[in-house]
Amino acid sequence: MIFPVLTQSQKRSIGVLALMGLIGGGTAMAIGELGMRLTQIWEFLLPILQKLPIPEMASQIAGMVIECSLLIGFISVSVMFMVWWERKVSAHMQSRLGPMTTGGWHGWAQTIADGIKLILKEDIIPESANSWVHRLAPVLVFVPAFICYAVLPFGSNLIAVNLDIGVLFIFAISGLSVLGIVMAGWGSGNKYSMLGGLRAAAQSVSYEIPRVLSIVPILLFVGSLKLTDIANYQSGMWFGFIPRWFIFYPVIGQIAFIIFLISSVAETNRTPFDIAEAESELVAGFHTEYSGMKFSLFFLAEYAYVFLSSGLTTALFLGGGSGPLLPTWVWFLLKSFGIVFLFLWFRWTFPRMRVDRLMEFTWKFLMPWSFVNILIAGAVVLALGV
Amino acid sequence: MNNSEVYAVLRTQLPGLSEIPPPPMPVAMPAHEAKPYRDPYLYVQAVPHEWIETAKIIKNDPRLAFDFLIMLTAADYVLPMGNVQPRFDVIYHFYSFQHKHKLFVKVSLPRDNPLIPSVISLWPAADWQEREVYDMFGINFEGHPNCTRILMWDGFPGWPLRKDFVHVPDRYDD
Amino acid sequence: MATELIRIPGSDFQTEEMILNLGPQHPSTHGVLRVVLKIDGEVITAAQPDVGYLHRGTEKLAENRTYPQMLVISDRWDYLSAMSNNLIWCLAVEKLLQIEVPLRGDYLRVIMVELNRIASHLVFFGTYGIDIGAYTPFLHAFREREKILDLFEEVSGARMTYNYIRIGGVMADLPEDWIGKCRSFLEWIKPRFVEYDILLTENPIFKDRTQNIGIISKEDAISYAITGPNLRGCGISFDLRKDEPYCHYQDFKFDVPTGKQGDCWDRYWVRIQEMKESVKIVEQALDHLPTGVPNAKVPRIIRPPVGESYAQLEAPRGVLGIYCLSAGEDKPYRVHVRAPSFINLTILQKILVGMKLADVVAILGSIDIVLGEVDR
Repeated sequence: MIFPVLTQSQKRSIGVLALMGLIGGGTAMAIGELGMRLTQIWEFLLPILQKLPIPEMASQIAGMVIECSLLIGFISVSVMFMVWWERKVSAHMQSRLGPMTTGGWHGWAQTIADGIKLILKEDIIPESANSWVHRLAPVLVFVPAFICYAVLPFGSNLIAVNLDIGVLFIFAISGLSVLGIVMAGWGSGNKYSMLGGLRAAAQSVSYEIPRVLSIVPILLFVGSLKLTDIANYQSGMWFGFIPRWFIFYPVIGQIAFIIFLISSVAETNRTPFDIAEAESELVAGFHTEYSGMKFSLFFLAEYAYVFLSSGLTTALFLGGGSGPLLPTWVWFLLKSFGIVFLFLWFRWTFPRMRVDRLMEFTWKFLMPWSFVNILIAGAVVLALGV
Repeated sequence: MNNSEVYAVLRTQLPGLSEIPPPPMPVAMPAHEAKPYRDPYLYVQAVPHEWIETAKIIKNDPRLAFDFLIMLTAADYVLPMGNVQPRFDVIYHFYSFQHKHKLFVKVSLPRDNPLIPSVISLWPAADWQEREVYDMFGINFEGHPNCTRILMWDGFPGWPLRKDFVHVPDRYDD
Repeated sequence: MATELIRIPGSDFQTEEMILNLGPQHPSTHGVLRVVLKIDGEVITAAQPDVGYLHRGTEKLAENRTYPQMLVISDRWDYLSAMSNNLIWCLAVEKLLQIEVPLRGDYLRVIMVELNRIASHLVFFGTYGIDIGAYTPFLHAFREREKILDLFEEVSGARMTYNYIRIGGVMADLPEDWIGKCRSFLEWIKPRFVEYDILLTENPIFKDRTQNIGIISKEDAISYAITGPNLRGCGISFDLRKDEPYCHYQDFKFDVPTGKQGDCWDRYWVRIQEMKESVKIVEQALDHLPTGVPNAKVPRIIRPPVGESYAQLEAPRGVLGIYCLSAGEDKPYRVHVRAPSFINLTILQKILVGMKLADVVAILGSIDIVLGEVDR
């Protein structure tokens, strides 16, 4: 490990970050209090609303609309934050500063400015492209990400739709984005985009398998696909100080976590598996021919998937919401953004893997190991009679 | 092997070869100016019509073993320089990894229709350097698979490094 | 090149080779180089580099410039290591003039050239990382380079085209506290090399991308006249600083790193090790820097006698040589630059054949060319 000597400004930065953490934690606890007050207000209002002549259906639809808008609001804000955070994290890892001026303090409004710029850009559809396929592709890449957020457990009782098949739902719907990528590649009318799109699709499809298989040991223990069940299974502690998170399960948890993390990084097309999107050497990526809002949809989709994968990792492996003192949603967000930080860290440290080595890696290494993991987990479950 | 031994080996097999003497002192020269300089390597003059045999002996003879072609260039003597006549000189510089000796070979060609066999089959390093000499001087290399312009654009009129090159104003001139 | 139809044996299925143009502008930061590739699926069957986009006609310009004026032009051949270019021009002219540079001048020249070697190899390290996909080492390398360029700016006034090494010595002696700054820079950079090794050299993904591709065999290296770290990566230990010392290099103790296999990783590794050796050389030169005047007495108008000289030195990219013909005037009669990148690039035609498309950039980057030198 290289521990460099800390300069004055670095010590100051660490101090500032610690202070921010404390203030943030305090605010979160205050909001938790506020949440209790809001719940009391809601309980007071509810009987009054129930007496009003509003049809059942309307209130159900109103409920759904409120949930969807909350989710879209959350996704937009978190994506904006993540883009800014990536630029800052990558800058500091590369011994430079990153955005500093837009909006004043450390350029926090940079993403908003970029978003406005992208909206104002001209929308170009290439001549040789099939315009409807070209237009629909970004939608098909972004919408599945948004749909999957509906089943993420943001905390106790903070889940939009508590499906019985939570985990399966996420994997099934996020697989639809592969179709969007292929459509983007083919609909661009460009030989190289199509090759790039096909490569990205092959990579996505191949890495889905270890991703799904690495979850199976967890399902063996929990016995249910509901994400809230999985999160609740991990509450409590062993020996008083080790949380019952799946990542701490000896051998099984670690192998599953590593395989799931690597597959998630590959699924979201991030370095070291970013042959599809990087300024890759010869073949341009599948989203070259996109400009303006459509490009920003791809961009948004990528970060939405990153947070989705991190949130899923948190819910499955890190106890998703369990933790002392702070409200559950704060713990969920902290853990998720921790995994997001891991994703960012990987991108700016590792070089890119070559396409054929990438495929070899999943088929010949990750998949057999996930099977081995299932065997071990099954044996343990049988032995312990859990 | 030192210069005279290398020359002896070459001379016995190639009677047409001759050693180039160092440049002579000019007749009327002020005393404080330095005398003419040439590197202490062996400089030989080869004959164009037996150049390929010469090159093969230079490379393949085990006592010589010049396997490394350091440099291949040409010079255009138009204005009489010292006591030389107008001609092209193609200049080769060899080095041997085994014996660690060096050699300069000059091949003189007439200025109109200069033609010399290519040594690309013996030293592939000559590939682009011969193309550059062709591009700059117009010297044709027989046996070179791709003797085309390399630095100037295809269709450039004239041979730039010749002393009598006159630049034809083209669309890049204001 | 015309495409050919390929018959795949055993099936009546015809595929055509595709011609792919790695155009003059591409993201790998090597300059304006064009490589025309013929590919069959994923495998390359033929490669032809196309150069000349940066040709500025230095050899023709030389015939109309006095010897000191050519120094300015010499900076621009290999612009990443301009001190070496200045030095080779001065060596060639000093041979013709038969003057000897005092010891202090030689040691100053060695310090500058070795610092420039570190700077040039840092650029290679950074850009090679980007070619492979690692974006961070580039910025770390350039942060180190900024310190070297600051040192050069203090000594010569410029950051890229130094024009510091002059005929007969150097432009001027060192400023007052330059040696202290140089020493603190050397102390700063030594732990960085450890970081680079951990970050990139021993990184399994990087090794996976660069080992066993682009292998140059020893026979090929010699017959294609490859020099520099490319040759040493193949296992042939030929370094002009050791074998034919110039500028008192025999006074310094340093090793010549040599690779084993001749693949891209070996060439990369040789350059990283060379940086460490250069640090050693600079330290020794600073420790033993003699006092005195760094410049020899050179006439006001430099008019070498009739003759020809060939001087060569070990530039960061290979053996850089100048063949200079003088007719007794103040302008050279003929100047030829033996540019290492130009000659090293020919082997690309051979080693790309049979490689996969994704490896082209890794192989091209490992040869480390600078287009200013290729095209002159």
